[in-house]
Amino acid sequence: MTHTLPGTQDVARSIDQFRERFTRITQEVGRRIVGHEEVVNGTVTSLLAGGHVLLEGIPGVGKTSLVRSLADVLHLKFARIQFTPDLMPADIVGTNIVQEHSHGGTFFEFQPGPIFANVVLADEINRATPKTQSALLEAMQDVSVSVGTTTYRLEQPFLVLATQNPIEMEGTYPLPEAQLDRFFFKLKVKYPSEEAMHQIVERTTRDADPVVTRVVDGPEILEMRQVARSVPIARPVQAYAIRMTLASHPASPYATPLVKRYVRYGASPRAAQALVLAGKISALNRGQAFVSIDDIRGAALPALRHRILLNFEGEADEVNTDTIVDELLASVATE
Amino acid sequence: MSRTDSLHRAMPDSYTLVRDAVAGADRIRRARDASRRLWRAAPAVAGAALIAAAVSRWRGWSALVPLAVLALGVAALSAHGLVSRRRHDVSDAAAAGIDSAAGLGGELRSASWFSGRDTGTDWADFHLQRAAARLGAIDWTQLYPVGRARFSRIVTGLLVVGAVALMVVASPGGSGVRGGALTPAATPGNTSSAPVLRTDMLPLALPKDLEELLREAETGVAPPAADAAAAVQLQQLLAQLAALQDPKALKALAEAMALSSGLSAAQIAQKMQALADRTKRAADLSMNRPEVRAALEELSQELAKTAAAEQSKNGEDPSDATASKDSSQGESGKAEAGKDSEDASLQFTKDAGTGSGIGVLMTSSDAAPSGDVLPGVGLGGASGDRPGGGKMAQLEQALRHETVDASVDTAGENVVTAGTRRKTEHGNAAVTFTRGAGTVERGRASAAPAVPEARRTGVQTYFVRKQ
Repeated sequence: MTHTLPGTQDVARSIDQFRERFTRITQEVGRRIVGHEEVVNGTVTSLLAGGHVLLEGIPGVGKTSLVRSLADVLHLKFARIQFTPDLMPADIVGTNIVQEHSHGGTFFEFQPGPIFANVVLADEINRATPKTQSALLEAMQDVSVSVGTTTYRLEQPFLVLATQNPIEMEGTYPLPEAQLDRFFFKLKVKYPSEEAMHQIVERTTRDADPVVTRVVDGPEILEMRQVARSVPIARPVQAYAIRMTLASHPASPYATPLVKRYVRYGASPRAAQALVLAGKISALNRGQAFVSIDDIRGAALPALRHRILLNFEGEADEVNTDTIVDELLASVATE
Repeated sequence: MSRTDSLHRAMPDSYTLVRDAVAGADRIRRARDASRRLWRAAPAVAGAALIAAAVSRWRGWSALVPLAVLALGVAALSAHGLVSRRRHDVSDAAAAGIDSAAGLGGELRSASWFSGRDTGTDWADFHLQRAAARLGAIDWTQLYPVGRARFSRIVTGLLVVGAVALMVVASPGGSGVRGGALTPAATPGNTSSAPVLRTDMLPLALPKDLEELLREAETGVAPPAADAAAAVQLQQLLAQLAALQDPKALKALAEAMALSSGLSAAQIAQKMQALADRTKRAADLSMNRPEVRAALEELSQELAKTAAAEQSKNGEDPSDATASKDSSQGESGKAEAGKDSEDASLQFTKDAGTGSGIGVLMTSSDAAPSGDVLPGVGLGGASGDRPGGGKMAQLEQALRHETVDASVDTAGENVVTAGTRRKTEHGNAAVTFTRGAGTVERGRASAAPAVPEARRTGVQTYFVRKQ
């Protein structure tokens, strides 16, 4: 599908349309999910940026409901994969099964797995074996799966939301850093407040669940992705995103004291890409056609927290990477 | 990606508008900052000029020195102001600062960057169009108002006026005598550290002012202590006198005091010696004005030293120098001695400051001194061991019963003391005495001798008038 860039009048129209669709998506999801505005915004941002999301939260805070509601609002195919230690890669990507011809004889027919959806919820991804994890991660990276000698393309938009339970670490297989880096954002789903708990209970213990309407569909999501990538970014602002990424490396001249002390490896260039793309989407949500420093700063935490690898001292001192990112935000020069 | 014709026409305007708006805002910001710096520095420059003017006046430098300081300061500030207002490319940091100050959320900073580049995209054009419209609605002079700096302006103005006043109005060459008072002065009391005056720098009014001072000392009439202007003028004169060390200047002063010119070297030496003597006497009579006394004594020493040197050069014996009888002594003249037929000259001075009215009587005679008679009385200068000398203490003791309560107005007013009416007298007398040495040795100063018995009656009756 080819897209022609609109004139300046069309640019204004595109911005308004993007903003309106984004707002409708988040509002519609909010009818079923109480609170978690940051998580919802981050998830939709990742979807529009073409990335994937790693959700971290204790059980029962609404991670699955969030993803399911998002899929319903976006009129996209939804699939949920519960990762267990005995889950095999074929359980994710699909497999060839033997079929019989009507006139006799057998043949192999590929049965696609749950990965062939638009929105895939990979629940407790850290419970599956690395082999199974890699099957999912390959699909995330290439937007395709290989079964035997055949490669099957996945339908766009394709969004994977993987979840991790921070409590149960025994018997789990933590994702390696190289694979963590493939997630666009890492969002923390926090425990709801008391007021939010009231709303959750009221909504979920009634005789009928709230119904969400479908706001946008797949092609509109792809159009929104294109619009997001059209937003221009000035070189000084882009330089700030790059400085933030470089500052997470202990050997960098921009490194802060905490980075030098607790970080073994810093964020990859994917972090800079995530910052810029998220900044563009944030600019559109403000109704602007330019990216500002504040847009970049708003995406720093979800884009960097899972890409910073702590050293032994950091692990021993139980340093939170959010603290390191906060120091980067305070220390890295904006000019 | 192609742009429509409308975009081609719109693009240059919005790009240029943004560039001009950002450059204009930056220029206004720099002008405001420069103005603040200028008005912080202006009082310092004016103060430096004032200090330079004061120092120049004190040291006797030309008025061009403080003028140069002021001109340099003004030139430096003006140059700084002009450079600050020059148009130049706006850096990203400057654009970010302006953006932050205006609360534009990064739009100005981003648009400023894009305005210098042709990205060729509709989105950049749209961005610049909106930025141009938004920047055009901002009044940058309100965002960066130039402060009035009222206090700095007032202080600068006062300092400049003060500096100009010191340069022009109160220059050292402007001194003169007004109504008998001396002209405004230099630093009060700073007579000892005044620079040496050269011949060509001898103030024209100095001889006249010195004459006034000597007369005041001789007659005992001094301006009231409360007269601040007179005090200031006096300090100026004392400073000038203290600076008189150049022999040529001293000679010129002596000639001017003698109201004569073209004198020979010997005559000049005589004039200088006579002036030294007179100055010494005036110093002795100024016991209640220490600064005047010190200045006159110092001047007397310098004059005597120079006179002695001059006389040595001319082959004369400085010890034979005598004071002349002419009007270089000032307004001293012969006074009638009363019934006494002796040609006694009297000079009577009063100490108006103390109010005790101790009158110091000096008598001298033109007759040749005899062994028993002590005709000459030199106050504070002559030795009692030499003929013609006198002892102050003896004279004071002898005349202690002659204490007279004097009043300022001596024109015939009677002062009654102890039932006896006395009349103060002001006599103009010509005093002559033999001079012993060129330099005055204060250690040998002593009181005048007692009045001889033969003359005591005359002295007593002189002051007593029958009603």
